[in-house]
Amino acid sequence: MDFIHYGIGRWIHIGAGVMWIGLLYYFNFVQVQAMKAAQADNTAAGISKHVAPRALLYFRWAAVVTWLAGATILGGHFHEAFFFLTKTYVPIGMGAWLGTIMLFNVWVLIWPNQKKILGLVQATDEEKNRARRVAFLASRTNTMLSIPMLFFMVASGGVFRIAFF
Amino acid sequence: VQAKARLPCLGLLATLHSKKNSAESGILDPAPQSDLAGSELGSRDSKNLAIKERKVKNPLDTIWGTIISGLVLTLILYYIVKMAIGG
Repeated sequence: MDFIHYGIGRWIHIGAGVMWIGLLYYFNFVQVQAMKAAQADNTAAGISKHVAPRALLYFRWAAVVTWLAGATILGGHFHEAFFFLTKTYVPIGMGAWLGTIMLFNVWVLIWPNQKKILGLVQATDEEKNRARRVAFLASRTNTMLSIPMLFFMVASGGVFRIAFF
Repeated sequence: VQAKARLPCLGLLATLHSKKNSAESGILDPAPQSDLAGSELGSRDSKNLAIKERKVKNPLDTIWGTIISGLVLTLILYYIVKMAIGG
């Protein structure tokens, strides 16, 4: 049971997390700049039609898997971490909260607005412009939050050296 | 409008309200117009405020601004957590 809980759970958590944050960094470090260049030479359709929908598919589901695997690892200590009930679990609780806010941003702000931008749902030009700004800022917010989130994910066994689970 | 024109602070509020509405609509308006633009006080305040507003940029608009914001947030949260656990 411990092998599934700690071994498999942590393995899946890190694997899905790499995919989630990797794609988040791809969007922010690569695609935003690439889209500007592609729009200049009329090749942006290739990215928005073939690349972005696939990347978003793995991106949003990797976020769910990462969160669920993280909750599995915490197990019975989930509420202690989430509500900062025990000092030992405060660092990982902070990481868990940041990850949860990021998951919320993915499913509530980024994905619904990306559907409008990519034409998967009907939207006027004005709605698309607004959707672009909201999705962009939500994505950038997640990139910003990923920095302390990753810090606190590794801090429990690193700089704080308290929690073992 | 006359009552507003006598009070410069109302001109400022009107400009701020105009800026808030344009920000909420997702459209970046580089020089929002006050409803007191025709009056001397409103016009002067609008210009002063508009100059200041242009200097304020969202750090998340650039990748370096995003990274620096993330590092600053990490530092702040680190000290909060450190205090919380009594370290």
